[in-house]
Amino acid sequence: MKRFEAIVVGAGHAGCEAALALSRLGARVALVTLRLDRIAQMSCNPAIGGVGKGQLVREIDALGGAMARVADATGIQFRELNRSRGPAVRSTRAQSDSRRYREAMTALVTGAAGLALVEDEVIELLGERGELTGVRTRAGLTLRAPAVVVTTGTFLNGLCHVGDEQFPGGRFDDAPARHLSASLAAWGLPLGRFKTGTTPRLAAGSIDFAALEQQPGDEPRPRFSFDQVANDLPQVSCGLTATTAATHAIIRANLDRSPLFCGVIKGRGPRYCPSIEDKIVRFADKPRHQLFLEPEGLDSERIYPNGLATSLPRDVQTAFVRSIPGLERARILQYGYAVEYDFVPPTALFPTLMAKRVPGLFLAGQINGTSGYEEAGAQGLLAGLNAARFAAGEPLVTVGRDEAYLGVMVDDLVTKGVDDPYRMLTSRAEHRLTLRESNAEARLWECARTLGLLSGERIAAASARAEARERLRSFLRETSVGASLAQRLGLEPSAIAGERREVLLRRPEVTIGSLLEGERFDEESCRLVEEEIKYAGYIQRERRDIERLGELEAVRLPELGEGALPGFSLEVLEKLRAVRPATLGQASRIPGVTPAAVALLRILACRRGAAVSRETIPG
Amino acid sequence: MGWRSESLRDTIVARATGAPGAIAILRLSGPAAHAITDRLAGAAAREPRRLTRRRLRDPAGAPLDEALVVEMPGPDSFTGEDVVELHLHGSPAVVAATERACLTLGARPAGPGEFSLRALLHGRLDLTQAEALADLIASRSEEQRLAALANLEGRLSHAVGELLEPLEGLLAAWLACLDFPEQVDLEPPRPAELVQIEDCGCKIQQIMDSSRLELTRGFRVVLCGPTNAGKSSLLNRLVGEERVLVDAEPGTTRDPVEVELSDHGQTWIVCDTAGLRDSPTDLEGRGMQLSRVWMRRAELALWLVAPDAVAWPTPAPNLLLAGSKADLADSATRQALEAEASRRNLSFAGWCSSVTCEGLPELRARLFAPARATADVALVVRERQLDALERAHVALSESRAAGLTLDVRAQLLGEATRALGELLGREVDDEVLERIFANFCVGK
Repeated sequence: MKRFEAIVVGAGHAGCEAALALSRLGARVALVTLRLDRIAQMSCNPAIGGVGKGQLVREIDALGGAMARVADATGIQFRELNRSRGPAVRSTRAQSDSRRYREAMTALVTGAAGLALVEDEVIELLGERGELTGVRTRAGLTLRAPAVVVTTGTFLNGLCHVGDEQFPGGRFDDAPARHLSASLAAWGLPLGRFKTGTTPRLAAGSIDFAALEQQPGDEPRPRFSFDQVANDLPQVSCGLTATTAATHAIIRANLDRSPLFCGVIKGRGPRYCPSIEDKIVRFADKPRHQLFLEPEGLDSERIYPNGLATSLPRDVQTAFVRSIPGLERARILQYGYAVEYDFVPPTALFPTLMAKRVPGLFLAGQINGTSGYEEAGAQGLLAGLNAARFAAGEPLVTVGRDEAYLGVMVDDLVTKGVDDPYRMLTSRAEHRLTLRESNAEARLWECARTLGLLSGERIAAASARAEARERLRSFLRETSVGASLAQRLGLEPSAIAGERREVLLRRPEVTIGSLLEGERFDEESCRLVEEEIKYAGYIQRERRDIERLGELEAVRLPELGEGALPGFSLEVLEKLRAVRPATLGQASRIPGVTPAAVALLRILACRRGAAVSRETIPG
Repeated sequence: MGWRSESLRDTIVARATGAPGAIAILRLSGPAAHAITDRLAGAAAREPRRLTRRRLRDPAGAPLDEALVVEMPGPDSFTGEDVVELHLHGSPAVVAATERACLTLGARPAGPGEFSLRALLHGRLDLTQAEALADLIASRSEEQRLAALANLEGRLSHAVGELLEPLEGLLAAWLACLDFPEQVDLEPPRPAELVQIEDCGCKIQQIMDSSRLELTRGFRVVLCGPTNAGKSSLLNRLVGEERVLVDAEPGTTRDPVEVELSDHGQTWIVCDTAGLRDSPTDLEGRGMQLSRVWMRRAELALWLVAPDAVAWPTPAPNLLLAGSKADLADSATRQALEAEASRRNLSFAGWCSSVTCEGLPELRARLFAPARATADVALVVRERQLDALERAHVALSESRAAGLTLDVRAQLLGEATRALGELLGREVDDEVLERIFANFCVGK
């Protein structure tokens, strides 16, 4: 029997961030995984980031997490998406060498202080007198800890489908976790079933890349981490191709053999990541679907054809893949498949990611009905942080919707629940201009420091960057433009001479680079401060919205209890009791809670003299 | 208010008709409405929505009245619950005894507006309809009645809903581009989309132009003009008491002051505002900003000029000019000021003096004339509605500006749709998200 402060079940993208956060906070932690050689495995596409997701990765970095650094170190193509569409939606995306990614993350967890790796299957959550005390493993080991973080991904009763074939598996080639679901249910947690899918993997040598358009990365490379991370890997291009009328005909002719369409798969799949058969049925008039051929690594034979997720039978996969330009002779190394798995509807959680019914039990990643490495990693970090605080008897931490994409995601999950796997989108964040990739560290680093998530080295680097930004701001605010600069900018000198640089920078045609006149400031600071000044009006507007909404967030709601409640309809009461909102703001976001009910809640809260305060990351 | 402390599971009862008449109607709503009726009238085959003659007895068996009873089962009733109406003989004693019997049988007295509140909570009315109902019940003039009725039928909701629909579609398209740049091969905004937004802004303007806030909040007359033009003195004269502190020192009034006057079922609100001048103190400055908003929102803005305090406003349809401190103005001064007013296209009402009372009766007649009658039925009758429309209008016109990045355009369009959604009491963000997935083939 071993004693820990916390046990992390699962070493995927959520589990690694959770365990590393615990380790940074000085907790003794056991990280239990089915296979030590599959730590931080990229089960689906070999990429990190993207719109909305890139913001999460930068936030993980600002909170001292690992994903950004590992992605920077092992990336083989970096791109900045939405470059011309404004700072709120600019996002970084990287192709990763998936083997190197796995190895780099494995090295981090192996080397982490106080972290014990255990290769085993957790089959039961243990308790005494209703209190969580640890876990039991299949090998008969008992691990004791007051806090447990469960990050099981797609492994809980995982069932894979290829056509009409079915086999138990959390992933292709990996056994599922068969026992933990029952234990979660015994602890009173509700369970649901979701489905997700992945593409076939193709042999690089069998693809006619010469016939295809290539998409290279951007230079200079964008990156995730605020620190400089070394990466000498050669950079690669992705191939571009698309489905054809023949592809669509083959798929249509075989829909009756799709487990999705003949009703074998019961779990609901992600809307934003539909299978190719789904796309062809739902968007029947679209003549072609774009595909990206992404290498899984520098020395890997495997190509991930992004856009081609499917669970059709093997012979159909071979046929339709070969109807695509460039793939006429493609060899399939691993067939596409769908996987069904158990998840816990996240309304069963507090915004701290702790289960409402089981103090000390935290859930993160796909078990909460999300999808994506980045979503998992960010939740893992929060769950690890709160597990450490729970074990130490400290108050738990929540993140606001106006503080981070992480806050938006967790609030959406625990307030609205999920109907299909949840993906981060910028359109889910109402304060997009406040929550930019560029200012993730500026937003979060001081909170991270207060919480103990940052190393001394990292604190020094972050505070140096904060000082650089401040220097740049005062340079722009306090110095004015001379005649020669005005001339160089092509502006009428008499009209702008003596104008402060900051004022000039508000003009759309003036860039920050043109105003520096030899003063040296780093690129990150320049980008951030330029956005601040050019978008000041809109950012201020969001600030006012945030303050207005903040009034609702400041009204703390009392527990609603079991009995009848004055003035509320049964439907609304049921919804309120299911979510148990902590604040009036959260209540107002629950689907089906009407404005009239919110008005009643406000009266109720005032009548019961509920305290007006706000718990959030201490800043 | 009673309803706030009670439950929806209760059955409520209240008299539904006003002052004593030949017939009085008691209305019951809630889960026990039928059961209570059966106890009063004896069990009988239920005939929904049909008036039947029944003999009512109290729980002890003593006769109450011969009544006409109509039962309206939920959810297709006004409140969405089981509703029963008892049409009684209009004697106060009969009504009181029957109501007492209902209370004995488990009903409780309804709070003010509780029947409408239940309709709102059960989704039988949306927010604008609930407001319209309150307005209808309170309506005193034919115009008020027509406006309230139109909105009760959902006219404003319908008009706004029709604007919201295409805007949500447009926003979904833009957000799909932003969130899935690799899958959605569009580069908004297209010129046609900007035209669509402009068109929508014009329609919102039309709805706002037809707004008649005076129908619910009274006819608002705002006194304005340069500091020390005599606004506060005039207000005190008009309402016949010392309501406003008057001082010879300019800038005495900093916050707008309002006084309500009622006559012949019509309400006027006369407001005194901070005077407008060039170099105000901070506090005054804020007062002046408020004054400008009030002028815009008023049905009538009366701008005063005095021989010793002259400033000119920009002409506006609701603006009327008057000369103040007539006792200080000789005929040459009067002629000069009147000529300048006409040169500036400002309509001039005449001269008045708060000292000698010269011209006051004429001015009073001009200000407190019966409300203008218009052919159109007003849709916007509340500040809340006008506020939401104005926010939407501003955000829409900003979203069309040149040189904006798409993220900002989408943010502004989102603000507009949220404001319109607020007007209807609807949550639009989730609807837009649904549309992204329904209309665009996105995802890897």
